[in-house]
Amino acid sequence: MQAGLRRWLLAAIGAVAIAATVAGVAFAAASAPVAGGPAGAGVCATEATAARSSGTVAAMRVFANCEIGRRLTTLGQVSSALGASKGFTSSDRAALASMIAADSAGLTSLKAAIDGQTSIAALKLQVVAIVARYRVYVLLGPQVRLTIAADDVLALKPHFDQVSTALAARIAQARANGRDVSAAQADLGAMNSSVAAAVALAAPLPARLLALTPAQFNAGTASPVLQSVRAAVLKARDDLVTASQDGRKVLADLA
Amino acid sequence: MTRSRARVVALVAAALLAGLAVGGCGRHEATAQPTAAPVTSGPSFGQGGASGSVTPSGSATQSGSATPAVSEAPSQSASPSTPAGPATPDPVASELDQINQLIQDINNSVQSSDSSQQGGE
Repeated sequence: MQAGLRRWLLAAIGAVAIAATVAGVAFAAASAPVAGGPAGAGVCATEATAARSSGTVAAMRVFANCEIGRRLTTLGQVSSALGASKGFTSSDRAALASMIAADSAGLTSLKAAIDGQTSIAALKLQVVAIVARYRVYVLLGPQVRLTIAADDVLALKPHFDQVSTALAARIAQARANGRDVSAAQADLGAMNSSVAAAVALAAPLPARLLALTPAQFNAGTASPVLQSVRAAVLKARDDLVTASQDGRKVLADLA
Repeated sequence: MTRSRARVVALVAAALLAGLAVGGCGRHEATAQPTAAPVTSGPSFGQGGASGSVTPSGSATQSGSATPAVSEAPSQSASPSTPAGPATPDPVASELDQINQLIQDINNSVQSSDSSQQGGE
């Protein structure tokens, strides 16, 4: 039993170390804004090696605290992203803030438990719980970012409505002046259709994201939802890009 | 015969000179006219009648302006005494510029989500 638990723990540490290495490669290669806080290679690699080699309570505790620390930092960054978002609805912001606060409180409580833990067997379970109970990087981070993205899509509708109203007035004026406005009218219709399609795609996404839990992720049912939501957000974004281009076509038609 | 030929040459020369003179005046007026165009308030957002240039890469600094203070009158004046100011962006084009920036925010959020997931736990 003890040997089995030890093998399990070594596998868990190895998995975390590999994930951290992969994260480091991804961070180095990505030019995109980084959301994950101090995730990645090197953050807790030294502590992981020490815990793996010694197997002592002290070394394990240091490793655990390193992993908790970087997650708390990430949660702080994700929380800041909530405040920076322009299109967030207040209800989505409140729901995600509550989730972040709960994870922060849970990890802080877990840290306190780990700091007081003297049983290596119990400590090993607590180390696994850092990952499995919270899923900060693979679930909460995407939940927050994709909800922001979906809300941003929805927040663009009033902007397009304003553009649509203005362009319709210009088309009416051009028609009154005797111009052929058929192309402009068609392009405006295309713009409005693309916006409607984007809104229809994005509208249900926040609710789907907010319903996901770490337990669902552990069971394998959350990842497909995340992938589906991501695809929908990108399609909605493409629709908005097309709509913007159609709006410019209307301007060119009337020039 | 020689006298009549000289008279014809003189008439042709006079006509050419007169033509050059008229052309020069016309060209001068053509360049001067735009500088005299009145500066009026442009169309407010939502109003028709704007016929200015579409600026797909319009200045972002002016994207929030809904009522440009300067008209979209042509600014092709060559007069050194009245230099033309920067062309005022079309308000609709400016709004579309702003929309494109917000679309970029969507890209950034998706990329941030990808970065978080790629890192694993």
